[in-house]
Amino acid sequence: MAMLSFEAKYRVRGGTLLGGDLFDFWVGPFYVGFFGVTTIFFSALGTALILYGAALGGVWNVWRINIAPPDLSYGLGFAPIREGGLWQAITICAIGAFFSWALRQVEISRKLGMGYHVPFAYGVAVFAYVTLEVIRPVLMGAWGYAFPYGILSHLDWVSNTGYQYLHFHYNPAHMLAVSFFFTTTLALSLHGSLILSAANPPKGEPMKTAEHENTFFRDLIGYSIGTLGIHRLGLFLALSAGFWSAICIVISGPFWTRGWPEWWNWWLTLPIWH
Amino acid sequence: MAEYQNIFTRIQVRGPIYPGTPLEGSGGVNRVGSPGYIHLFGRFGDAQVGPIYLGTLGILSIVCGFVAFEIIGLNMFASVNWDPVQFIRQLPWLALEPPSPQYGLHFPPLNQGGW
Repeated sequence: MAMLSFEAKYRVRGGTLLGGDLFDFWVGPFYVGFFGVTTIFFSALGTALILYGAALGGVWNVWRINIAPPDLSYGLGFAPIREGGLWQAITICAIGAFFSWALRQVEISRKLGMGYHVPFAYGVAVFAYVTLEVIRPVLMGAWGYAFPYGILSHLDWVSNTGYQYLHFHYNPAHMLAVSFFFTTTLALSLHGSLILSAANPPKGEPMKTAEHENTFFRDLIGYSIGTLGIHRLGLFLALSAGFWSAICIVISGPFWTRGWPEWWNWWLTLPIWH
Repeated sequence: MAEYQNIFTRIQVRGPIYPGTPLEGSGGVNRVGSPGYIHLFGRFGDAQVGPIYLGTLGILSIVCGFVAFEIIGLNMFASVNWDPVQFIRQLPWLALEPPSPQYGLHFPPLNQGGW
């Protein structure tokens, strides 16, 4: 694969966390590193185990392939391979691959002398996954509370788990998460359209600048957050969405077992109303 | 550069006040408000606030938004018999409901969904 002329000077030695110089090289455009090797290892093994699970299940319809966690009776112990053990091995591979990927991002950031914003942001998604598949099941005492690996089966899990709390939209952390998801799309759509509108003036006119972008939003709402600020805002909104998603599910079960509409009784029974 | 490692920073993004690019085609309507700085905004993004361009459509938009907000709020207030304590207490559960299905796509009386 062709390398752009300016890329060579960024291919610097060092910055690795593990392995020293041993894996400090590139394959085509990809930086390898120790964690590149572990990423490949865990994702290849995990994918193979998923295929094995599909073969055991006997269903090759991609929508219906399902690899379920162990029955609740196994608690937090290991299950036989055909009864959830496969799910446990795949979960270990997934976590291994996700952590390797994050640490590979750290190594690349270190090589380039950048901040760790990218691995941090990716880490929030990994945190949400680990919350669903490890933290919440451990708090509730059985791997069977985790979600299954399958396109339709994990949708069933989401629906069933939601209805166990009667109306999941009354979950205050879920409210925050949904609001952040929507606000993220709002911010990205405003930012994307603003940049494209400045870059696409009427035919024959010069491209517009950051001053026009600032002026547009000051004219519209009296405030423009600025070229750096919008990216801070976007990162904050997006990470908040993922973070509160993790919180909203980890409090459902370990900390609140009834319907979420009922949770709001504390507000209706505050002493200030009397 | 190291100061930009976090979402919040001690560095103020604060340039000289920028009045905005020249207005074209606004029919003589100008921006309003005198721009200033807000320190806390500057910790996250630009510190400058204002000026704002309203124009006829801007004013109309604010008036319509205010009217809609009032109609919703006053209907909610009426639904708790104008009790201010219950208005705040039950606010998250209060609603201005649309007409019932029997009205089809016709206009119902004001208190049956007309509002």
